Amino acid sequence: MSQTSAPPASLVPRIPVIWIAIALLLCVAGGVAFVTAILMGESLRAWQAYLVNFVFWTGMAFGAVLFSAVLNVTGALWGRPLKRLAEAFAAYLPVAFILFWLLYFGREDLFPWIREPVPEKGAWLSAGFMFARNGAGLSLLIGLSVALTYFSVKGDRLALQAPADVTCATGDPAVLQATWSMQKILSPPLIIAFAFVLSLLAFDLIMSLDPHWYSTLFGGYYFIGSFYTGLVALYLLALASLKAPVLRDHVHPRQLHDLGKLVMAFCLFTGYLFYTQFLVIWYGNLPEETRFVILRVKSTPWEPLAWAILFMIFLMPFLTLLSRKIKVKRIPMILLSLLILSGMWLERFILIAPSIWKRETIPIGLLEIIMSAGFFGLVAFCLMFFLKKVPLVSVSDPRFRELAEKKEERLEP
Amino acid sequence: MINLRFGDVNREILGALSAPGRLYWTVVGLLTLGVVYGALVWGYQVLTGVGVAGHRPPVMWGSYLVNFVFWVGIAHSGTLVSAILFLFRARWRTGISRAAEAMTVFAVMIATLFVLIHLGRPWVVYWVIPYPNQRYLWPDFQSPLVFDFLAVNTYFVVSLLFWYTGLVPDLASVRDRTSGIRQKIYGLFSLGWSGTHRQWHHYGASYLLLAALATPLVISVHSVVSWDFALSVIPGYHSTIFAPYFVAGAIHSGLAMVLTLLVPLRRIFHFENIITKDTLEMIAKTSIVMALIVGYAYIVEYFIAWYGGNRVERQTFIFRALGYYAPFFWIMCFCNVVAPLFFFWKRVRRSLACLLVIAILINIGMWLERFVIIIGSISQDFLPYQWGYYWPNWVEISIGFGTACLFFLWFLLFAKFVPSVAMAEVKEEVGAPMRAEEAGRAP
Amino acid sequence: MPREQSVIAVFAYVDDMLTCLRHLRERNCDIRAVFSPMRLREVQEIMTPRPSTVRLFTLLGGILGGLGFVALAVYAHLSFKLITSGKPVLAWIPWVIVCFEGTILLAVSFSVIAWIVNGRLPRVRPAAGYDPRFSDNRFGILVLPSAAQREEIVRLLQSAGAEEIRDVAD
Repeated sequence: MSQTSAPPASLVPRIPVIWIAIALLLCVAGGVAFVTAILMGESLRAWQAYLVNFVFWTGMAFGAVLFSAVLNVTGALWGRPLKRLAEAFAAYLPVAFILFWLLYFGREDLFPWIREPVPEKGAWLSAGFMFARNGAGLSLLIGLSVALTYFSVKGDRLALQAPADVTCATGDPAVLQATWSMQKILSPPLIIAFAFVLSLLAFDLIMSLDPHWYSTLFGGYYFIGSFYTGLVALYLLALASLKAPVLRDHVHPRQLHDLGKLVMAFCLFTGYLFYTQFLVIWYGNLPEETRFVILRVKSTPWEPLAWAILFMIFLMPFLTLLSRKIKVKRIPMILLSLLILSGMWLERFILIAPSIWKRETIPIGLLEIIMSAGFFGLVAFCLMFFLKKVPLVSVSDPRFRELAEKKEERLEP
Repeated sequence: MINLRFGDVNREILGALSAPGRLYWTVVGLLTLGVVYGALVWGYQVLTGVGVAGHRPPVMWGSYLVNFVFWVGIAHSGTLVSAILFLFRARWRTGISRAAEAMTVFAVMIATLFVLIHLGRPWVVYWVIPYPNQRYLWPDFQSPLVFDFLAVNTYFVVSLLFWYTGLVPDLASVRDRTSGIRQKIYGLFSLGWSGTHRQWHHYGASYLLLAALATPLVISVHSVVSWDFALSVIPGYHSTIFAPYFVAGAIHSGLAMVLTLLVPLRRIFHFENIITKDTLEMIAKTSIVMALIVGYAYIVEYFIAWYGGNRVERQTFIFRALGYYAPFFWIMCFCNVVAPLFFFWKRVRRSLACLLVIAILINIGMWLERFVIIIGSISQDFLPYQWGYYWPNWVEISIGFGTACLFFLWFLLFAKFVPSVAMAEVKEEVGAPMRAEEAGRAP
Repeated sequence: MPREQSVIAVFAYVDDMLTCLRHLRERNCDIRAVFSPMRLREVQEIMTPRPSTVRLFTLLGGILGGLGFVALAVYAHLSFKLITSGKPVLAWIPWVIVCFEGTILLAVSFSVIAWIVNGRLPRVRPAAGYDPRFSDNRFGILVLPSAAQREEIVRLLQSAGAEEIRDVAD
């Protein structure tokens, strides 16, 4: 880490300063809107929007980094050029950690069990314990994600200092082996921690907003949905970064096609998890469980939103991605990705808001839009900041070099 | 991965189909005896009534249903290996896909058999078929049992067709190498396949679609089976996580059965070059993933049982860990979650003995898991007055034994009369000989 | 006038066979069939550029199955309105499963029938020109050259490295 030589210009994208400026501007606007709303007395609405955004963007970032870990564990070749883009989302995670602690100030507004404690769950639902355990979980997962990214980048730095042309080096010095093994060692714990920590976040930050409701699948539903969101975000980032020449050389339509298939698979998986949770609750018809669902799916004002979300995150992507050719077309996939991301944001919103927002109208307005833009700006800024300093493709990854050197596969489904 | 020359593929794989020796026929004979015994006991049960199986309130679903879920679970990894890994372009599936699919077909048939066995009146099982009839009755399409009927039958048909599709070119290979009555039989089943480009074209298109269609089916079938329980309101049954939890458990037990069958198979037929240790290692690694998912589900269920605050639910889970069937619970936790974690060490993954032992432990653990869930939850549910315990008696054990014999009998017959490795796929993977390469290799 | 007779050429090496196939295509020769023991993408690219109709049949089967099973469920529930545990008579939520199973069942069935029928199967005897070695480790090209082209084609096959060339009785 002491070698701070910048990677060669061919490996780093040219990011116009204006984009960074816009990102920072959005971030500031979001912050200003948030503070203004609180000062004007709309603190519940402000904190609600904050929580939805936190849960959405953090889940998305963890999901994207998970892609890199899964590539390492499976030894897959096809996705290697996208690995660095996936790891880039780890740049947002330390910021997310700080944002999590800010939630402490909104706890009275957000968590009903603070003002009206639930005696039989008091041991679990207490503010101090909740923040402590979630903070610990986040530290663990963020630590693993950042470490994975660190070793990946460090390997590249070391490889770039070697005299040989790194894109077709075959023999690996011991230091490169070391960084690669660290990545392989860190990936399985990251995957395990992903499942457990995100489940914990879901149970504590979302499910506990309605302290009398529970569902065993809720954690799983959240983390699979986060992986889905992360994949879509990665797709969008890949499309956006295709202007960089080094990515154009390595990211062929085949990679985009495969990533599109993975997005389709997780669209189906998320839909399946939604359905299985819904079916069990619908069929059992137990009032303590159905209350939660009926509020979101059958009562005003939330019903139309629920249908819109189903359309946006499941129906539309499923029908679109059935076609083989569309997965490599730029504009339709950008639109679809934006649709899915908005849909998933609304999905997190509809999980959170009806539990605590008791008024007649859906609280989506200028405040939510500006705050979401603020979070988007923050994430975009972190991504751009990171990608300016590291090679855009993971050149030291032996599987990446294997893919680059290998002849095209002739036998494939 | 497969260490075989193109020209040797037929010989190596078809070598397994040579005339079987005395040991084979002895084992087949013994298994047949076991099947006959099980069938006789079942006959006794049908004549006397299902009460002889020891089912009584509160446990009205006994080991028959445990076996049903167990065998449907085992069926899943066959399709996982053939269909899902095909879509993932995983090379290591080639040597094992045929045997795994066969295992699927046989396991689904055994599972369907248990549906018949566990009925009080098996002679009216046809009432569940939806056709216009003079009873003016239709099955209730909202019942999870009817979902079961549709899902398991669909799974059977699809697995059979998928397996058969893959077999056609290989059966043609066998046809071309036999004569007489054998040639006629293989010729019949190979449909006159000639391997023309047109046939391969449509075959390949269909195979891809079959794989793509079988994949969601795998997920759905065991989800439907899990909903037999989750859609009720019994504590311990009614849980939203059941569907993915059961699917992961199914794949877990299925992969363990694949290992249990293939480790001996490769030794007996000398398929070490085809079913390599790398393949077995990949299966072991996938087992770790499934073990972790199952472990996650155990932890979450316990947490939510406490968090939910429902006294009956809490009681069920305390009973599960500390009550009458507690030893089964702890054995299950060890076998399903802890034992597969030994696969993290490469030496364990590559040792045939360890693979076999851990695979058998997983199968035992998964059977016990079904027992603990199905029987444990209903033996202590809402009314303490109704609590009661149950053990499988000799009737159930005999029938369970008979069906296990049937499964292994079918598998043995398959291994000897049908190519147990997908020859055409192995040839695709090994790659056809090219004159340019041979010239380069010339001395 | 000499009858036009098919010629079968047997190859041991796949690159020889592919090169020969391309040459034959260039000469617009009537290539009846290309035999191989496994699927070859290169052959598919040369010989069958259009996608298979199996896909269409599969889609058709899926739609029929999904709609059919749900229609059956609707008919059954309207004929016999057994209300259980407070569920509505026509309950769409659980019928997602019924629709799904029907879709998969008929899609797979139609797909299998389609590939069998499209491959002109089942046949009593294998295709003309078939050699049992084609299911082992040999490749074959069956051509029907016009009387004029015959000499040229046979020479082409020989020079391409065919192991064996013989006439086929139709």
